Amino acid sequence: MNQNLQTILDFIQQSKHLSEDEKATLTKAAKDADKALTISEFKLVRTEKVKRTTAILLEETIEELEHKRKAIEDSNNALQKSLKELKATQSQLIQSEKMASLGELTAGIAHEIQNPLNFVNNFSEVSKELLEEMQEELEEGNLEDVKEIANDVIQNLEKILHHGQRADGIVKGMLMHSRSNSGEKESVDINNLVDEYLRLAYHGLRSKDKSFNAKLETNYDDSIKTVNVVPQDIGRVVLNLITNAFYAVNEKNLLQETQGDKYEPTVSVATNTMKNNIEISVKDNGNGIPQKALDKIFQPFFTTKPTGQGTGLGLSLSYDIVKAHNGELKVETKEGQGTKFIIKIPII
Amino acid sequence: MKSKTIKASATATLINELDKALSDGFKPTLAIIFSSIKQDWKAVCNMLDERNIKVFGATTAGEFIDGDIEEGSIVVMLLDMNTAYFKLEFLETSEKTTFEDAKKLGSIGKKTFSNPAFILATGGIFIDGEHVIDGITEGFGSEVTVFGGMAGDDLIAEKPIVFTNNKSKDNAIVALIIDKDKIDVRGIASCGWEAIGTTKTVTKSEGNIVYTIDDKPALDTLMKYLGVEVKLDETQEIVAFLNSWYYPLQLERENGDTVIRATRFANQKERSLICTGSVAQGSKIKFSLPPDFDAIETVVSECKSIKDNPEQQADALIMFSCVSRHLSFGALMQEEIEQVQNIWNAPMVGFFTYGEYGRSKIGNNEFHNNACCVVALKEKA
Repeated sequence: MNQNLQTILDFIQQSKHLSEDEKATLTKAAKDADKALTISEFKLVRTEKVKRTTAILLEETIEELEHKRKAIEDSNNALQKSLKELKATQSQLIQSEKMASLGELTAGIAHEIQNPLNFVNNFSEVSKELLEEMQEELEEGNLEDVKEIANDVIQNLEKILHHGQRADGIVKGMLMHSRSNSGEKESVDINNLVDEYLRLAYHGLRSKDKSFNAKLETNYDDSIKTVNVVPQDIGRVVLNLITNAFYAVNEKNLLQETQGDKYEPTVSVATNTMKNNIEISVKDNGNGIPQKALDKIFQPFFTTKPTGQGTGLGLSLSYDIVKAHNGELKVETKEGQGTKFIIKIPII
Repeated sequence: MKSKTIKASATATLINELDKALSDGFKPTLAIIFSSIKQDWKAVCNMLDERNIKVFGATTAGEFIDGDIEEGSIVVMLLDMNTAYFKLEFLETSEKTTFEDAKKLGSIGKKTFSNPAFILATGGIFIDGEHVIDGITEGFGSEVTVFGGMAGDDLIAEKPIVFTNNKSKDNAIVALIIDKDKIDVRGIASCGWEAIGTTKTVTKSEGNIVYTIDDKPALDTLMKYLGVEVKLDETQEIVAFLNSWYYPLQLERENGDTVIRATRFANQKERSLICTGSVAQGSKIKFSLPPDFDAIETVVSECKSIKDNPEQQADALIMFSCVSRHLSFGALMQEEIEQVQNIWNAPMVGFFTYGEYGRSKIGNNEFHNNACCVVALKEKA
């Protein structure tokens, strides 16, 4: 018992002025006070103990959290670095894909340039002959004939200029296709763009594989004027879809030939206006996409083509390009009957 | 069923108390004895055996009847329970065979009564309490009723013993198997220790030995975070870690429930912690601090919750209260015991344990630390 309380208790016991009842009441009060004091002392000691432990734990926890924060910061930096590297690799891959599709275009482009070049050569040759003739007429003083010949030469030079510009346009288009994307949207005649890439793809394939033949069906919606898109990007998507369609019908054709079945490979390209969107569809009557491959066709590096014939990036990049135009790239397919890809782009 | 409690700090006094208790013609069949390791509990056991009274006994880290807490004494509860309603089992065990032995006990209970309840006391210092619960559950089934405690040895941490008539051992389980169709057995385990700090992961453990926490030696982690020290002893590899009773680990169960694991020993060489129950590798843990003093109210209210109605009575109460509660609540411990007893207003016997068995308010049957487990017995009409 607390010494002071014990003294009080002793005093109460020895007191002659207090009755027994009073003594009992006071003794109980002193004992209760002692109990309360003991409990308070215990609480104080324990609180001090717990306080000390809590302080140490808090200090250690702060240190631990600081270590964790540093570790997170380090891994964040490492992740940033990886992300940067990944983005660089992605750009390289996109560039590689562009170059790969450029390869597919080269033959078509050569074919397309050959025509204007032939014109330029022929008209240049004819103009040369005409100018020689004009020299003779000048010497003879036949000015009327000279005028006539000069008019013919002017007409020829106009044709040469026209075809030269046409070749220039094709080369510029090719350069645009291969150069890094500026991402600038322009007002583009979608029907022209689609048609140009259809022809390039077709002639490209034909020049590589003389035996390739396919019926081309086009159905362009003339109400579509111009749409704001990044032309080389949408061109790449269209080219990719058409090349895939040609590949699909060719594959089926080869199979049907070996089986002796009759088959007309057909690729249909169409444009449409749907409310606030335009749709470009590329449809083939090939073998269709198997269900197990359907979920994966937009994944990077997924390809059903033999090794070396496909990068597996075409549809993945096409998907990203359409998405970047706030559009949708959808696919409808029936095994054995064909596939239809639909590009949906909002008209802004 | 009638019950009486007696206590003494010497064998001779206890015999006198016993004679007094029997003087009115009371004929007990069962004695629950909780004794300090210093007392001659064997003599008391023999004396009861001579009177044909079955004994369920354990040494303690402090014992109490009603609200009177004693140290170094012996307390006894005498019950005149019909001998057909209970069975006493004593199974020797070892660290390695605990699960199998407990499973055997579960099967015995199943064969003895169609609806049994197990009240246990386990001895030894390296017995994994979780293996005891898992073994009984395996042997009986998941709907088993188990309550009990781990024997103590006045915090010497060497040889807590359990005993019955003519049998005693440290590595053993003594079980009072009661027919629940005849005796209503209900109880609850309540803890209150509060988690503190960040969640940590047990990165290496085996059974009840924790080697590393967050890939750092477990002992060093505990000492660093809690500022506790282990009493160094050059001659021993494994030393008692009494400080950690205050600051046990709180283990998170998959179902969101938590259970406390005290670290009873530390291995100075391996820098590992030896817990009273299993701590699986990969477990999420937190350190924990003793609860506020008002946690006593939580325990009391949880104990109230097991009553079907406020008027429900009990014939006898047994309490297994962790020694860490005594260390943490000090003089207030008496209040906790008294208030729990007042809920039932029946004779109570109990002891301060090294671990507790029972079902918490929301959890499954578990092996606990730092908990208070109370069991109420009432003969059915």
